[in-house]
Amino acid sequence: MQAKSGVKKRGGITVGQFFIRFRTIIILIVIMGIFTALNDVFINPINLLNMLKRQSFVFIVGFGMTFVITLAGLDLSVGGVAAITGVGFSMLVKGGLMPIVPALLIMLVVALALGFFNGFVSVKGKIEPFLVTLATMNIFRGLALILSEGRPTPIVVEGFADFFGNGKIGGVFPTPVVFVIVLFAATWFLYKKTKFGFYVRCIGGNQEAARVAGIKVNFIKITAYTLNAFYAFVAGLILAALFNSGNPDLGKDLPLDAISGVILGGTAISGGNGRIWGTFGGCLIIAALSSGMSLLSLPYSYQIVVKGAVIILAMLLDNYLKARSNE
Amino acid sequence: MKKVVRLLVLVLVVLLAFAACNPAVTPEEVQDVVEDVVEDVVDDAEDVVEDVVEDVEDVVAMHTNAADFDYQEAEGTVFDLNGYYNPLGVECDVTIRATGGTVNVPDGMTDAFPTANEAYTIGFSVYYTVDEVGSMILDTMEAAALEAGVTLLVNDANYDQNAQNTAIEQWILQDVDGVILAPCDFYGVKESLDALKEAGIPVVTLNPPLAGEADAVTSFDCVVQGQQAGEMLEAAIMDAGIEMKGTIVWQNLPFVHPNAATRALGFLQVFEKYPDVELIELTGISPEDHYTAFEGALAAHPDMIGAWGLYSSATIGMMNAKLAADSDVLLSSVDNDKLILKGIYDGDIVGSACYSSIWPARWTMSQMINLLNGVEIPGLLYGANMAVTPDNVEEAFELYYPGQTLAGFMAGTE
Repeated sequence: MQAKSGVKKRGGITVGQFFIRFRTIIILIVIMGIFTALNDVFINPINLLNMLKRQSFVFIVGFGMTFVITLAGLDLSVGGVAAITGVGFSMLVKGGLMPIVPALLIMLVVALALGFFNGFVSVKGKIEPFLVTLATMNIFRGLALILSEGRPTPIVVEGFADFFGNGKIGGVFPTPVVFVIVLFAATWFLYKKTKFGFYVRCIGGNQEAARVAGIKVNFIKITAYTLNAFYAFVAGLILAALFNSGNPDLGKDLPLDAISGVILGGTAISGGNGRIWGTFGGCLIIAALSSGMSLLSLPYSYQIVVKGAVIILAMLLDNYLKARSNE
Repeated sequence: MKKVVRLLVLVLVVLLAFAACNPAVTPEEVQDVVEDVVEDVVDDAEDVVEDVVEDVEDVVAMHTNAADFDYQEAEGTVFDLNGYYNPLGVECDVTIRATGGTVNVPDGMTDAFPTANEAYTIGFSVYYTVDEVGSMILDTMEAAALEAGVTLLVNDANYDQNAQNTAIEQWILQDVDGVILAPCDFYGVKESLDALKEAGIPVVTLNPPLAGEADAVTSFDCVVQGQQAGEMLEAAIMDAGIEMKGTIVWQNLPFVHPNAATRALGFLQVFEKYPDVELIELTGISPEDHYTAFEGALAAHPDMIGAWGLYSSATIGMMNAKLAADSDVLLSSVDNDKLILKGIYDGDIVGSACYSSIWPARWTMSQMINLLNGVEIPGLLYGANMAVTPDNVEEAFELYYPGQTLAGFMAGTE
């Protein structure tokens, strides 16, 4: 069978399995190689760190989205949660109305409440999460506009922009990159090493079996959406810090970029099978594409075509290799 | 030169007289003294000539297109952008570095476009190119770069400040000589402006930022645009013999945009003097939003005597709603989209405050080249606004869309 399919064994796994397991990193290396060949500034360490900083909020939302997609769900409202976080925080601290920490705590509670609302309505109302979050995407964005009266509110609180956005640890590592690394480690642990993560994967794999096994399916689902809002909260703070304001318009592309990163990373949209490392790699692909195409001065119209094409090609390659591997 | 010679002669005579009165001094000594004096005088004369040459060079190093400057604020002053915006509720904390005053410039240049002294590389980040206005700005900037002899790196940010900031970080790594940017997010651009300042790279913005520092800004006086739109509507209402009593509906963006706030100020000022006119503001983003809102307003306000679209999407939505409702309410506008110019020609719009997309781009590149060449430039440069009515709409079309005609557009051949 192997000879017929042309797939050879290597170190206990077939070449096909090797490509499937490492497809994200292979795609990433190819993309980075191409961009480096076309413009060597791409591989400059400062550019690479800037690239991570610029997409840090996509990475962070991608981590949370991995739980949701593993549950066979989707959350389109994360951009709205991020916008409300930035707008609410900027208004709370404006003119010294409130110190930073209480303002952060209030906005954290608000964000978690929005996530809880998504999960609760979806579970208790028996509505597809896609439809619930499609609605709340508009509701949250509208609330951000109402709260701010459409005015971006500059954030002039000392230390905020440095801590969440423009600061550098040791003069080198942008603080958003540090957030990505810390949250990546925490998310990996939560996903792979805790009961919660295990239950999420079980429910995504077979919801009825999980229910029969005694897993509180509704509770886990609501918790996952609430958790996802926490990631959107952090992303919202980073966005507000990077852009020096609470802007109701921020984070519009956040859900789709994060979902693309998760899918590119190998998490099945049908649920059950998720990979935090994969999400990291998938978001890196999105980041590398954005950075590389910017460096090549590619017009926006071409950029979106390339991004879409890479996602489709990655999916086709994934399916092809899986099919070959199963032969 | 004559003065120098006369001085020499005078010195010589004095010395000879001195020598004659002092027999102890030998002719050789006198000659040495004379030579020293001559040398000193020649040195002084050379210094004077050098100073004069430097002064002449300073005069020559004027802005290449200064002939077209109509000064609103004198050279040596810096426009107070913060004082302009903050009273309108638009928070602004911007420093403009260039001290060459504030000038109005026309849609055209009397003198030749500047040539770069060196082979500069300039980064240009535009907020959007996927429409006619954006693509005209980009095409103009690329042509101007070619004309000036500089290399242009382009970033199409598509209203994404993150993408714009990415490009600017990369240009800093590429050691560009200057950056021209049209901000996507008026506050979010501060990060880029800070980074450029730290890197010592000059920056000229096309549209003002609301935070950070820039060497110079190219903009339009949007208060004037609003005034022009208001005055055209006011005149049309009066010409139609309609009493200044009733409602005027105007459509705005749902969020605060500096250009919108300033246009609104100018428009509202025109109608302040009419106590019986109620001004009703509606908001939307897309032409569809504005269509729907205006459709409702036409039904809800039978006493409507006029309407105003603050920007092109508003006017286009309102004009189509008006046509669908078979309403003859008078409508004015800002912006010069082809559909708006056609609407003016057809009589569906009384007039629009228009401005070129091409010339501000060209003026901005001129500013950057002059700045890099070491010339003092105006800190704020206002592009020209034009009140376009049925009387001048065809001429305006040809100005704003070179090589095309309104007739051709309406016939579908252009």
